[in-house]
Amino acid sequence: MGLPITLTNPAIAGLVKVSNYYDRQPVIQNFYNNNAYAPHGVTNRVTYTVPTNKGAYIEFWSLTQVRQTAATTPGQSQIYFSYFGIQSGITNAPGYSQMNTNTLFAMDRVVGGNFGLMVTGDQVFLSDGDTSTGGTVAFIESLKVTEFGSI
Amino acid sequence: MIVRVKAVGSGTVADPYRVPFPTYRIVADDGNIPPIAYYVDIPDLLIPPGILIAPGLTSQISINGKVTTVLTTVPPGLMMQWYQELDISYQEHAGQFRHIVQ
Repeated sequence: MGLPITLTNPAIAGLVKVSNYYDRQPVIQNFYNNNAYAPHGVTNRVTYTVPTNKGAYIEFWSLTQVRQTAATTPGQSQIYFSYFGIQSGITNAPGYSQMNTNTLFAMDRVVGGNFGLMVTGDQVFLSDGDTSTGGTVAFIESLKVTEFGSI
Repeated sequence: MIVRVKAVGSGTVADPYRVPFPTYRIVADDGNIPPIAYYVDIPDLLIPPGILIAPGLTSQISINGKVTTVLTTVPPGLMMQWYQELDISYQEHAGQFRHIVQ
C-alpha cells in the first residue's frame, strides 16, 4: 500500500489540466477513394499534412485492391500507405499490398487502426500503381484523421 | 471544393504522380496518359475565402459522369495570396506547396 502524496511544489501545483486531444478543437478529416483504373504509374491518391501548431491521430486506414477486368499481360498492382515523419525526414510504408494475378475479382487487403500520433508537418499518403498491360484494378483507399489543437 | 490542378511527378515510388498541395483526394484525372491535370477534392478550409466567393473562376465539368462545379482559374494576385497562406499554415513545408490551377 502506497503512502498518500500531497503536491506542494508550486511548479507542479501550477500545472494546467490539459484536455484530451479529441476535446481540443477537433477536426475530422475523412478520405475515401473507390475507383477502377487502367494500368498507371504510382499515384498519390490521398495526401494529408498536419498543419503548423496542430497534432493529429490516424484513427484508421485501409487499403483494398480487386482485379476487375483481365489484363493482356498482368503486372504488379500495388497499393500502399506511407508516412513521412518531419522530425526524422524519413518516409516509410507501414501498409503495403501487392498482387500479380489475372484472376478476376482476386482481392488483397490491408487494414490498420490507431496508427498513432502525428506532429506538426508530418504527412501520410495513400498511393497505388499498376504495371500491367490492359485490364483494370479497383483500388479502395480509406483514411480517418482527427486533427486537434496543440496544448 | 473540386479543383483542377496541374499534375507533377513521374509515376515512380520515389516521384509519384501527385499535386503539390498539403491535403487532398484525387477524384479523377484529365484522361491523358500520363495525366496533365487532376481533379482534386480540397477542404474548403484550405481555400482563401476570396477565391471561394469570387465570380467567374469555376466551370461546369462532367467528372465520372456527374456535372460538377470545378475551380479552373485563379487570378495571379489571389494565387500568390493562396501560396502565402499555405506557407503560414504549413511552415514546416514552406515553399513546397505551389500548385497550379488550370
